[in-house]
Amino acid sequence: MRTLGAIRPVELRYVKDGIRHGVVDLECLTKQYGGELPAVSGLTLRIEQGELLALLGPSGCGKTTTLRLIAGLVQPTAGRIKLDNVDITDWPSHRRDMGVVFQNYALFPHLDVGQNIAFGLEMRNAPRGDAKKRVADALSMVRLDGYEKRGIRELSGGQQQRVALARALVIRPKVLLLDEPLSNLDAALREELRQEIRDIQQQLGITTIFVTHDQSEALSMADRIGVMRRGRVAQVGSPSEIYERPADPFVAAFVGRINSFTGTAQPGQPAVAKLDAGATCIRLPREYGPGQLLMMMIRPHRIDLRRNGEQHQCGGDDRNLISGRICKTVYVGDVVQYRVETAGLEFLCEMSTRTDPATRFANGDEVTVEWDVNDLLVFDHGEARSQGPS
Amino acid sequence: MSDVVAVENTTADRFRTPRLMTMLTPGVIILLMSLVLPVAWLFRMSFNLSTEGGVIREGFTLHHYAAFLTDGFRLGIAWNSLLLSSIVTLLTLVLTYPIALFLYRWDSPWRNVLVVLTISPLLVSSVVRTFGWMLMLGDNGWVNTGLRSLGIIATPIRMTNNFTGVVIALTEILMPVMALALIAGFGRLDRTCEEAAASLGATPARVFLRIILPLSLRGVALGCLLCFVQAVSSFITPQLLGGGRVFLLATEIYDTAMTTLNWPVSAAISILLLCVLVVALVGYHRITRSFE
Repeated sequence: MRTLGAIRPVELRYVKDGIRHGVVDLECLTKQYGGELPAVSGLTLRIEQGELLALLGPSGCGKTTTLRLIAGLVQPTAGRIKLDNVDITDWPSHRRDMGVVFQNYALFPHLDVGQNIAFGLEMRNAPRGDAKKRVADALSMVRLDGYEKRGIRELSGGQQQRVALARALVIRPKVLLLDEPLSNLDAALREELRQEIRDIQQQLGITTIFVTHDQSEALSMADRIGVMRRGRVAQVGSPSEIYERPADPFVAAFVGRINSFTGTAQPGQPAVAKLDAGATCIRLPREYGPGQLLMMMIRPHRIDLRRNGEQHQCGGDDRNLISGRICKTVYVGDVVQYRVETAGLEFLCEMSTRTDPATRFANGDEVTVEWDVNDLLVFDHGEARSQGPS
Repeated sequence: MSDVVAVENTTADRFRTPRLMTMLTPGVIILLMSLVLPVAWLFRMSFNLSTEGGVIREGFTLHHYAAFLTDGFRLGIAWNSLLLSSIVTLLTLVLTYPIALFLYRWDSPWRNVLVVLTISPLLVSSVVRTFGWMLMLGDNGWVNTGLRSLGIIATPIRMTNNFTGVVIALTEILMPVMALALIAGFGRLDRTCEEAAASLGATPARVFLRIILPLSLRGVALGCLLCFVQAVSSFITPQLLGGGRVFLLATEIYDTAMTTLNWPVSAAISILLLCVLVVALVGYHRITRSFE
């Protein structure tokens, strides 16, 4: 794999000069296709100048529809879209000044690389000499110098992706929209391009909306993440907020692996919950009303495993301890994943493989599952879905 | 069991080519007998000597070709044929393209029904369809009667027994063929490419000219080839709707062979017509190769 070449600022100057920052406001945006549930429902979101916002969610959550609404490729059923405080809801796509990179790149197969990139400039009637220079600069930006005359079919997937990015950026759009741009690439290339897209975006300082179903992509690239579910934004926040302080069990379960279990706050002991499965009691990070139904979640890597642990019920002040037995071991490389059976529950735990191999566990080992109470995520169980470790 | 399978596989591999040849044989024989041999016979015939009264003398002369290529009247016929075919092809293309594009795009269970309806005229013989047009276009046909009763025209527009009528009828007769070719050739169209073009600032008209049209040129080339070839060699429609006043290569071949009984001259014109078709085919090949 090629190492990532640093992007020389001078290459970006020409493209960057004309980049105009855009603030996108979505106000109660709704899109309904046919009968049932709307694809996007009452979405209100502000995308700030120069930020990279990732719209993250499972397939069918409305993230791509949102992007297409912003690009003007579909018309909303209700709601407004504003760009720099100008209502552009009724503007056709070709007037919106947005660079779009499609999931399948949508490069024009009958044009060569240079013509593809120049297309937007041509539509803007840019002077030929100026256009030529800008195309060369855009190609240089995505490290494809001298590829002008290549045919689209001669390019690899990663190169096509870069051409699509250059084509979208060369028109100096106010907003860059990326629709799952990396999902058709292999894993190594995806990591590389993630960095590259992020670098270019930061150098240009261009407002960017990035649609993805890959949580690690969203976490590693975005300034803010909007987690979407059933046409609505479940939570908007920085990657660390989303990951560490998820607003609801859906966000917690979608972003990263997690163990979840339900229980009831104990009368008399407001900071202790009795789990529905088994008769185990665990400590909670704060007090809850007696009898309150709770959904509790803990990340696999926040769990410690100890051999021959003491058989605690409601252990030390800030630790929860549950004894169990290793029932499955999966070596992933950087971590080992253990499935631990306890009374009525199964926990997924991850241990770094940096530890001495001798300290690793084998199937059937008796262990104690242990975590800091402050690592426990607790939600009201009113709307929570109950699910096993995922 | 696995041994048997293995043996079968190797047998299949070994005999694949010979078996393919066996399967091709009937088709090749039929083509030889129905196409290659008659054309070869026609080619030979075109060099024979002809005499008054339809007697053919074996011989070898280039006279018939030379006579055709130096005869102003007959060159005019050739020009007429090419002109008519070009006009018909162009009209067919312009009229069919929107229909074909709509049918290709329309995302509905009724799409296939409409496609079948569009090409269903192919089920009716072109003789019948030509008669239909004679009824409609005649001086007392529906079109003229209608226009007259509306007071738009006073005297009927001549649309039968002339070039105009042949063009109208041939265009309609060839539209299903063009529709089939276009729909088959629209495979490269891609909605996201059009969306990409729009997002890059292309108005709908420019999306059509710069993206949709170039990407459908393969179908356009195929449709034009098929229509041109059929138009240039069409006989029934010009004969019936032309009323003997529209002189084209095909009608001239018929007249020479059947009325004048001059088979060698008729064969020579046929061979020249064949040359036109070959040129069209080569042109098509050149054009499609340039899309690669």
